[in-house]
Amino acid sequence: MASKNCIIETKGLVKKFDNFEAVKDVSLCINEGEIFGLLGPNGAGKTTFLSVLATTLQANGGSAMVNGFDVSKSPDGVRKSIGMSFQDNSLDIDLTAKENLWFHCRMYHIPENQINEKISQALKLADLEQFADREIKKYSGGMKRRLEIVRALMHEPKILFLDEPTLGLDPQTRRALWEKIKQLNQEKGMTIILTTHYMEEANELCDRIAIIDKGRIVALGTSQELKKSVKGDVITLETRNNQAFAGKKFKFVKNTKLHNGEISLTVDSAEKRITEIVLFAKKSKIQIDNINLKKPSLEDVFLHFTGKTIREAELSAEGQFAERFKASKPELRAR
Amino acid sequence: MWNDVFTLAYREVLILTKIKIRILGLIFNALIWLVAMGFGLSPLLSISGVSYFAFLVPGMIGINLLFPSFFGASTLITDRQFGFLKEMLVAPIPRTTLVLGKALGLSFYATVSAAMVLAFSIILGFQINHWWTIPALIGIALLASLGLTCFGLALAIKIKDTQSFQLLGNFIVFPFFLLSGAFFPLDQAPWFIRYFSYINPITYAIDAMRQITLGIGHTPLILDLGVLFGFFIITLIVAAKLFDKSE
Ligand SMILES: Nc1ncnc2c1ncn2[C@@H]1O[C@H](COP(=O)(O)OP(=O)(O)OP(=O)(O)O)[C@@H](O)[C@H]1O
Ligand SMILES: [Mg+2]
Repeated sequence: MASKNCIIETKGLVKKFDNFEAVKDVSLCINEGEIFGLLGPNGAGKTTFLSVLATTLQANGGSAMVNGFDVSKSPDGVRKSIGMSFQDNSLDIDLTAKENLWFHCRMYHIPENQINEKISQALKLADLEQFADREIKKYSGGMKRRLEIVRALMHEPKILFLDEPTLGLDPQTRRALWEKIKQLNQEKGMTIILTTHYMEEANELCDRIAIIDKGRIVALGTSQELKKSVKGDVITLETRNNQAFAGKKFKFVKNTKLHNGEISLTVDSAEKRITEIVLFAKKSKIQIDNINLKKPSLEDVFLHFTGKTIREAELSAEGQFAERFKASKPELRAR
Repeated sequence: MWNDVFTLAYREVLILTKIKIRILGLIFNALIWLVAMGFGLSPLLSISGVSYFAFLVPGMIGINLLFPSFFGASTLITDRQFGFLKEMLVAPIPRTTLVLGKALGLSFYATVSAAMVLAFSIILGFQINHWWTIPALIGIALLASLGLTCFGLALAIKIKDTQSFQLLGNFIVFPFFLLSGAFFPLDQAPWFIRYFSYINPITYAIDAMRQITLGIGHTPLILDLGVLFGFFIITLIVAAKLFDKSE
């Protein structure tokens, strides 16, 4: 039974490309009116997951309901409820900004007498008024990004999907966009689902965050809850003999992870434990090159659940892609 | 729905008119065909009592319809490559409307190209007996073009790169072009040419245009129009179905 306040609900959702499962058995409930973040490295399946929800890809298994509509049975109902800004360009590069916005208003049946007003608002919001009549092919990457996002907001959808909204934006623009997203959420009660690689963005914006890795949701909760699940602070060490540290069973260490020439120890009250660690190093004659104490961040949460930092996960995902790329059929590559 | 069709069609036309060289290309194309074929051959021939030039005009209109209609559909592939297709696909617009809108825009352009051939022919001495034959010719051109663009779109949905589309398109379009009764009357042609011509929708468009301008033809006008309309509806449905499945 669908719970009342899930505006988006997926059950065992699967999306395959040939034999490769890009989304694996995802079950998720997104509440009405929340800002929900999907955090994960390249190739985690974020875009694929959103595309299934937005009806541009069809699922191979499981079910997904968006605003009470089944994505496979009534895609038109879903499309009427959503707005989406894509990770890659979806503007018509031969048209000007104004023409692109006009087209969007028409597709979403915005009344004729409001269209001009809407277009000027959107251009103002994107800070692109001077470039309104310039063709998109002459736009910079950041300008396109901005236009793409304001376009998705124009028809004030009930549910807004933003795929990597701030990728490639300069810091001020990114801040301004965060404010806008919060404002839309608070004033219009818009449900917003966004994907990101940036820990700080998820932390700053999202009511709840799902960490997604290799097509699976590995953790879900508020940023506070997720940080708590790491259960403690993290001491990061770089030593000449990390193995020795990993082997040593400190009583107070809850979790030890070796990765990328560093060792991470999860402990409570790290301030007090750090001396014991240094003493152990001294006794065992292991030189410490670097020692670091951190209160948990989402980065650590990611590490905790996947055993990798987000950077490492991206590198291995790229490697995996390269393999698949070589093996894939030519028509896949042409896309 | 008609509003959406209009918006989609308008976008197609807007893009096509932005590329100025295309318009020049259209005019040049129309002239070359008429002058080379019409004046080159007409002193040598006369068919069913009309000059070869007059015989050729409806054929030239049909041919100048075929190319922009069919190859215009490759813009669907570029829409996909540059990402704009995604914007159309998440919009709350049925796939049939998307196909119809695109087809109408491309057909409008193709029909303008056909109308240009007509205009040049009249300047060069093609006789029009009644004023209404002009809108009638344009109507037939538009109807034929809608079917051809939908046919092209159905292929463009399946074929995901422009080069393959052009290549395959040439294989398809050239027989359509040569075996359509544009250049010679079909009743004197060998049976295999005749049979192929009768499955070629362009044949019916040219036949209809010859009947209303010259009063000569092979099949009844009503059959011509019926075939063109049927071809349009079938290709529209097929393209929309394929579209629904593939995206
Ligand atoms: N059309 C496709 N055909 C084949 N494989 C695909 C296709 N689209 C995505 N994939 C694969 O599915 C996996 C998930 O891709 P997806 O684009 O969803 O990742 P993502 O989390 O959005 O990554 P990024 O952060 O880079 O945007 C990747 O391994 C990718 O290679
Ligand atoms: Mg992505």
